[in-house]
Amino acid sequence: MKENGFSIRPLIVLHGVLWYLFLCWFLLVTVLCLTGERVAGELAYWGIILILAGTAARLFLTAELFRRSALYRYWLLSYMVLLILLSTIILKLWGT
Amino acid sequence: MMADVFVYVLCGITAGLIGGYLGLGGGIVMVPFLTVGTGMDIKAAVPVSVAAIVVNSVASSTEYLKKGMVDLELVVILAIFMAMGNITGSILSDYIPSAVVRFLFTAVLVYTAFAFLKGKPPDERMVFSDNRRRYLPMCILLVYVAGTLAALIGIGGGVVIVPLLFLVIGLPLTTARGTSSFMIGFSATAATAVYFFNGRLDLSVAPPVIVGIIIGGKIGGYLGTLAKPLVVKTLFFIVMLYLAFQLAYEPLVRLL
Repeated sequence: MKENGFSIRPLIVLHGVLWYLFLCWFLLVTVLCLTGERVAGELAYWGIILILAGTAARLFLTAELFRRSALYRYWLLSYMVLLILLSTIILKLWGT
Repeated sequence: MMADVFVYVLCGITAGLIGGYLGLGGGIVMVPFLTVGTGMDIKAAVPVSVAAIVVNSVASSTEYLKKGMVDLELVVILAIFMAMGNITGSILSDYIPSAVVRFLFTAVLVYTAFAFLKGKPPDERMVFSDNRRRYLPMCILLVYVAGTLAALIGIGGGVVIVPLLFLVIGLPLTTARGTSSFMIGFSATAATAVYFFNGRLDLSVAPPVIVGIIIGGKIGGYLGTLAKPLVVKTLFFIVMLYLAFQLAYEPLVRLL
């Protein structure tokens, strides 16, 4: 990948941001749970949504990094992973 | 309440440390910890564990990414077939008896454990890109089968992916763990979404477990990048045999 100028730096930055975000978010939820605040449940709900969105962001960024390095085959495959994951969720939730 | 939260955080830290170090999700640590340690029902423990695996993938793979130990090309190729295997597994789960699957997976794990411990001579590992060209179709097939079996018994599959990347593709052990660590977050996300939207994810237990795993995963991932191959192989061997025992124990007791 190096020969195509492929850089994983943005992916490392995204992972770093997600790490801090998840840590702060769920630490806050845990403390609010302990103090018996009702808002904790609501925040936990949005925290899980955040985790799911984080995975989509990781895949999206990976795909765009491939595209930027003209690795179009892998760019398409990355979106295919995203599509398959979404289809799996939809199939299992609303399928037969 | 305070004691419970402490146990959940501790569970997350332990799973993160082991999972991050070995390139696994940590489910094989979390589920027994939650069920035996806190008396949680397995049906409630599995969704929590799956959600924490996604976070562990972010936490631990960052360290592998920083050191260039994640093969992103393999990640996207194998993630597709892993996900397809998961779909197949969830469809087949209605038709194949769970005892058969458990015995089959036990056999796979025991064989892989010994093959992994024996490993390959270093000179063969050096030509991994040639191995990739030659063995990628076989690896894809094996990942698909691993995904199917993993979905049938409800695990992430990292315990099969790492040996596969190391033994078949010939990736260096650290890159195999980094690649697996990055990849398993994707298949776990689909499962998390299904549990979450079905209302089966306990939102009072998941946050402290996630806090623990995000810290443990970061440390485990960092230590994993520095780990000696012999230590990793030995730990992996123990983990695989432990999982094989767990899988075979219940159907064996019923048979005998």
